[in-house]
Amino acid sequence: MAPGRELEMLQKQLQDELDKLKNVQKDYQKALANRQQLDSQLNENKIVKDELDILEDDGKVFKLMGPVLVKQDVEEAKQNVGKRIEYISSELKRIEDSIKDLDKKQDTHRESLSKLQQKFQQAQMKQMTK
Amino acid sequence: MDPSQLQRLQEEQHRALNDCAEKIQQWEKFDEDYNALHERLETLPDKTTHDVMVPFGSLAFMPGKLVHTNEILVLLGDNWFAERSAKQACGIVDRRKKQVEENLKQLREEKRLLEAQAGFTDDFRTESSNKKDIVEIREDYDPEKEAKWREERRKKGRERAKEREKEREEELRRLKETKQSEESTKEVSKPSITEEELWERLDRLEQLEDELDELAMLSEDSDGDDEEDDDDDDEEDGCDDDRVNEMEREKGTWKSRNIDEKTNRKHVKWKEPEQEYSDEDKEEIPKKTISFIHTRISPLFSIEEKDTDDEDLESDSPKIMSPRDIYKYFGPTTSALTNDIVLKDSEEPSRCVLPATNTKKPAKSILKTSKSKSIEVMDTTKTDSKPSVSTLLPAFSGEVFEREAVKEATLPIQPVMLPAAKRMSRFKAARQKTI
Repeated sequence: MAPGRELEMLQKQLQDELDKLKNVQKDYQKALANRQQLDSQLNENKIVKDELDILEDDGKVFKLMGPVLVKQDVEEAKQNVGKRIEYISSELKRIEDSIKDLDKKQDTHRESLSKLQQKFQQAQMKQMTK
Repeated sequence: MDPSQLQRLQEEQHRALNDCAEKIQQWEKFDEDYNALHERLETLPDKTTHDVMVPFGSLAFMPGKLVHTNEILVLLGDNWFAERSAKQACGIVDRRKKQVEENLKQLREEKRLLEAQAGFTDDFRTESSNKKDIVEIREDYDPEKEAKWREERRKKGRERAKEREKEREEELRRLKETKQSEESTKEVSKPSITEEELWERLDRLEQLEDELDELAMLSEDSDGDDEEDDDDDDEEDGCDDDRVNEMEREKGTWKSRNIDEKTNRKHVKWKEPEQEYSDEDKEEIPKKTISFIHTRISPLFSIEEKDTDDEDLESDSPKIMSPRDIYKYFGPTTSALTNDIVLKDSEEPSRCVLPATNTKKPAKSILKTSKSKSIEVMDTTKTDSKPSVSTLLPAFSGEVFEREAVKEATLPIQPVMLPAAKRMSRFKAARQKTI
C-alpha cells in the first residue's frame, strides 16, 4: 500500500514537474522569437533614421497609417523615429533579461525533474523486488 | 567514431550548408532587384511621361501613362516614406545595395567555413572506414586509476633514487678512503678528489642518467601533467616527481635535476634553501635525482686546515681570478644536482674563506662544525647556483663564521641551507646562523 501510494505520488510529482518545464520552455521560445522581431525592427528603424538624416530639411516625409499616407515634418519624423528606436531598445533589453531568467528556470526545473526521476526509478525497483 | 555518428554529423553540416546557400540566393536576388531598380530610376526622368501597360489585377493590363516621373516615394522602413527625386532615389538604392553586398559577403564567408567543416568530416569518415591501418586510439580516462598509477610510479622513483643515493654515498666513501690513504694522517677536511676520479664519477653518473632516461621513455605515459602531482606531493617526503616538486618548492636555488620517471627532460630549477631535507629524511627521500654533475675541483677546505689543505687541494694558493675560481674554492656546497652530499665522515666541511692571497692565513676557523651538523648541512645543502659534481664536502656547513679576511659578501656564494621549513632568503638565513 504505502509503497504503491508512494509510487503514485512520485509519478504525479514527476508529471507536474514535466508540465512546468514545458511551460517554461514555451515561454522561453516565445521570448526568443520576440527578441528576434525586436531586433529586426531596431535595425530597420536605424536605417530609416540614417536616411532621414541625409534628407534635406524641406523634403517631404510621409507616414503610412493604415490606408492613409500622411505628410510629416522632417524634424518631427526624425524625432519620432528616434523615440521609437529608444523604445525598441529598452524592450529588447527587457526581453533579454526575461530570457535569461527563463533559461535559469528551465535549468532548475530540469534538475528537479531528473532527481524526481531517479527517486521514481528507485521506488519502482523497490516495488518490483517486493 | 561510429559511422552512424559521423553520418549524423554530416547530415547536420549539409543542412547548415543548404540553409546558408538559400540565404545567399535570396540576397543575390535582392541585389539583382536593386540593380534593375537603379537602372529604371536612371531612365525614368528621361521623359516627362511614359506610356506603359498598367497591370489590372493579375490578369489584365491597361494602357496608361506614367506621369510625375521625377517624384518618387521611397519606403524608408517601418511605414515611413520620403518623397525624393529620381536621382536621390538612386542614391538611396545605392546605399541599400551596399548593405546587401555586406550581407552577401558575410554569408559567403560562412558558407566557405561550413564547407571546410563538411570536408573535414568527409575526409575523416573515409579514412576511418576505408583504411584498416588507420586506427582510432582511444584511451579511457579513469581518474582513480590514473591516481593509483601515479602513486606507484612515484614510489618506484623514490626507491630508485634511494638506490642511487646509496650508490653515490658508496662512491664518495670509496673516494674519500682512497684519498685519505694517500694523504697524511692529519685531519683531512675533505678528501680531495683527483680529477680522474671525478671524471670517472661523472661518466658513471651520466650512464646512470641515460639509463634512467630510457626507462622513463619506455615507461612514460602521457603524463605531462606532472605539475599536478605537486599538490599531492607536498610532503617533505618528496616524491618521484622530482621535477614537479622542484618546480613547486625550489624556487630559490638553482638546481638541475633529472626527471627520470616522468619525463625525459632535464630541468634546472631554483630551489629554496629551506626545502632541504633534514638528515633524517635524507635516507628516505631523495627527492631529487642528480642529473647534471660538474666535476668538483675543490671541495671546500677548512680554514683551519688551510695551510695544508689549500695546498693539497690546489696546487696554488687559491686565487680567485674568475668566477670559476670561486667555484673551485668554495665549491658548490653540494652539488647542485644532488641533495646528498656526502661526506659522511666528518670532515668538517669547512668553508673556504676566500683567501684573497694569503692562503696561509690562519683563519679562525669559519666552520667548526660538528660532524652531525656538517652532515646535516651536507644533506640539506643545495648549492646556490653552480652545478658541481656531487662533492664529498658540502660547500657550506650551514654555519657562517666571521673571519677577518672574509667578507660577508663572499659568503653568499655558499648558500646557507636551513633545514627549517620557513622561507627565507639565503642571506637572511646566513645571518641568522651566525647569530
